[in-house]
Amino acid sequence: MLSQKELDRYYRQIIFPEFGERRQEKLKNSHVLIAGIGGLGSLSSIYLARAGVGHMTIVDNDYVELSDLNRQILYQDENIGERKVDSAHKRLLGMNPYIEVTPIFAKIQKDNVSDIVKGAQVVVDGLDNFETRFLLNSVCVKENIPFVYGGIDGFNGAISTIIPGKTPCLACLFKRIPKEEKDFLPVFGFIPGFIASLQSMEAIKLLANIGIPLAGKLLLFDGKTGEFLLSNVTKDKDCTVCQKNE
Amino acid sequence: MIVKVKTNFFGQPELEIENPTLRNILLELSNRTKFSIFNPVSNEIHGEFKVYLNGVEYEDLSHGIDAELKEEDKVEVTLVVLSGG
Repeated sequence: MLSQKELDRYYRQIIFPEFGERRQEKLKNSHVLIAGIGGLGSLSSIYLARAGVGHMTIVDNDYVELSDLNRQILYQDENIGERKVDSAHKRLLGMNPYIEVTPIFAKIQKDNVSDIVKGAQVVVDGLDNFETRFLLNSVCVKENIPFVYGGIDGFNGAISTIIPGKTPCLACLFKRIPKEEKDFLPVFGFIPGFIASLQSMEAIKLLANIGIPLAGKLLLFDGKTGEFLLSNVTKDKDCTVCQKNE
Repeated sequence: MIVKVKTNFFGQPELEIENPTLRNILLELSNRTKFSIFNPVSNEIHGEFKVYLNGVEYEDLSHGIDAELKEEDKVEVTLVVLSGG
């Protein structure tokens, strides 16, 4: 049940004809995992918090650095040196005290990933490397949890919503995994900002059961040319991740 | 010549190309997808794509993007996973 304060806070969402109080309550009763709270996770967590997602678990094992501040909009100079999850926790509750935020200071690894995703209805990708993304993809497939992939590099961004059992998984989409060559990818703040906005929209569509998610589709954006590529992606019948689960 | 191109973002289109080179394949693929895959001035493939001819990355071919294709050659254009966050 939404309080009067919550009804006022979310008024501009509630008046959207297809949304209403019923879907706002669904958001309140939802639990989202934000895996990585850097450039992508900063912005997706802000939008999900402000939209009223009732419970967010945020996971990261990094500390705020000066070079994060061009894009990781949860943090400010005064947070440099702090654990990201602690700064983010405080900041998100400051934005919306009607939600619950569970910070986990940890690197997502094989031995903890199942515990970390437990209870989440949607996992939002805010990671910065291939390895953890593919680990999370496989656990989401196994645990039947939708996974909203987002990735960025320089002026490029990509997003896809993976629904286990229905859509191709990340391993179907990307069969050739290139070597991670650079320690630090070039990035401007507006690209993760743009992709994370779309990721938060996808998460809300899934949680509130509204609209049509980017399921089975991959959206690629090239900021240098302003071009979008929306492609239909297909399951790989030999996928070692999702096909063995079916 | 008809060239079948394997991609992970646009199915496996069959492209009819008069002078089949990787360059012309990529131009036609860009034309069909309405998305630039390479810069025809600098000849650089955009970073989010990898291009292979018979399993060999185009940069390792002696003629690079101007490699001429023969019947039965296998061309693969792959969108790479963007890993940053």
